[in-house]
Amino acid sequence: MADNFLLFLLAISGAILASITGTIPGMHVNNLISILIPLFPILSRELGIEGLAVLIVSMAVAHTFVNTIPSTYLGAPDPSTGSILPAHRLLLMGRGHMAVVLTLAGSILSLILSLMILPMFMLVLPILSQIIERNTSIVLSGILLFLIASERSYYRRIYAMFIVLLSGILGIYVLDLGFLDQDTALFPSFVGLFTAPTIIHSVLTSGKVPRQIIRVRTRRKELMRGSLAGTVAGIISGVIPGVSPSIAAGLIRKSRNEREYLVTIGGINTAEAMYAMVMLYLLGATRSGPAAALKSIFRDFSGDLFVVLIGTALVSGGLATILAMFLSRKFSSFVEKINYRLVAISVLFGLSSAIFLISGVRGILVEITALGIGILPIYFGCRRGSCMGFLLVPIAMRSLGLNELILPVFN
Amino acid sequence: MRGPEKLLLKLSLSCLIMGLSAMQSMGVNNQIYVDLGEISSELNGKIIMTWGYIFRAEENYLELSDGSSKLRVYTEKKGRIGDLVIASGRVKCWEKRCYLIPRYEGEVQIRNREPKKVCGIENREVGELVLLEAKLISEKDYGSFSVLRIKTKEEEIRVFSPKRLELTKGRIYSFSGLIVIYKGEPEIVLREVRELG
Repeated sequence: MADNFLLFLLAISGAILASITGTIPGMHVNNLISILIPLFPILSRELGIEGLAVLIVSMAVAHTFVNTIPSTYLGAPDPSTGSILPAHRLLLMGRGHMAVVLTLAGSILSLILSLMILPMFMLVLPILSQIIERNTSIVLSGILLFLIASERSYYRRIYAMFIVLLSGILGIYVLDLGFLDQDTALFPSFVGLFTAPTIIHSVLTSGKVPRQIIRVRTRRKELMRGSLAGTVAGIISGVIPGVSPSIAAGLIRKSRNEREYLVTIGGINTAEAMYAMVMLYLLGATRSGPAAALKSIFRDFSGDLFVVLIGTALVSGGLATILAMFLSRKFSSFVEKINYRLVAISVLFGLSSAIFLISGVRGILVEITALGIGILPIYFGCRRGSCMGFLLVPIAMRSLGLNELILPVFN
Repeated sequence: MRGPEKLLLKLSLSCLIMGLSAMQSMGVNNQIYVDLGEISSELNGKIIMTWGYIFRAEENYLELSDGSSKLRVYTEKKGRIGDLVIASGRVKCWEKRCYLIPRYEGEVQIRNREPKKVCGIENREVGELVLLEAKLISEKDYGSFSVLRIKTKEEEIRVFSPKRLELTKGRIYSFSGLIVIYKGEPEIVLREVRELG
């Protein structure tokens, strides 16, 4: 059984490990957890079950902080976040470090805010969750309609509807008709829908990355507004099934500028990771890969363990912020020297190779199809959250009981 | 370092300190080792570690015994009567009876044991897994279980069988089982019975 000192060391080790893996382009926390799963029996024996839980939570939280580095400097976003274009734009203006710091500010402020909201939230969550569960189809259909209706022009709304439809059909094939193995289906799909289009777009449109300026300018109001919006969106994403951070980002009010938007994006990921854990503790519901991993090893999720895991998240978030700021300064010092296009293409090649290794030719087929859909929002100028029809349409269809009617048509 | 970065650094250090204090104040290192016979309602809700021999093996629980006391451990792991079990988990007491609920299956470790061939159980220790050849003297059927009396060359022994058996009186069988104390007297909880010859 792990003692407190060992748990603290594990929290720190998890943050350091995730700081390394977080800089790998396209590496989502779920991929990280799936790599760790085969090691669970050995790790739980050596570290104790609490030790393993602390390691998972620490890595999951730190990952949400550090993954802003490949997003910004290599143009390879975390697939679930979607858009990184503002960060990339700042990079091309020589302000890559500022983009990272703003995202980190969103993450750490959101970590603190989500803990401040937690006691109140714990009171309303059981009722709220019941309402959402009973009305999943209405909630998800409402979200889909809102995503489409909130586009700025009539034409964009039509484009968004078209993208939701296409990505929904892809979702039905991949998730419901079992075109890919369920455990590995999301990786090729999300790389195709979000990561690859961003990389291709930035390769085609980017000029040379200029020399970076290590100076950060922002207003406290921007930090507060952005982190509050990020926290609310992260909670929505953590609580409602099928709502990814990019959808949640689309649901909250539009940010006033790029800086505020980056703070919001940072906040969403961290608040989502925190509230996925809260959902597991309060309702036993799994809303994220790390939460599912915790559920698979724990039958009894006690209150004291929950507090330890909250402490772990704080330690990990604090350390990850410092590490990410350090890494960002290092990246800033040499990013203009590297051949950006070559790096971006290598990243894309690396991700496709990983997909081929994990899911074979079918994975590549899904990636290419998803890429065809994922590139549309960039050229139509509408929100990339529309691509989340990939998850929302199959879930909404299931909760409306339309599966039996629609699946045979596609089958 | 200035402006937002300085603010971030301050926030990070505050988070580190807050997190460390939360981990320190609510340490999970509260698992205590308790002998099976010492488990009582005073330990309700506590996380403990204990050990015992399998006395009864059912689909979703194992009943452990240290020879005289019993404890039910909820697990789906399979073991045979007499196997050694080391289990951790939370104690849950209800109407004066206490159970152990492991937090995950890995908290129940079963060590298989092989019976030791003996001629009688006098001077043998409680918890030993023995194998002996004996003649069946009587069998009393209690519905779901039965109680046998067997006779070796040295002594007459009481055998508790968790299942109903249909054996023939006067025949010689090999009995393997766990030595426990029941009403002050040693008896064997039957693991396996085989007809000889």
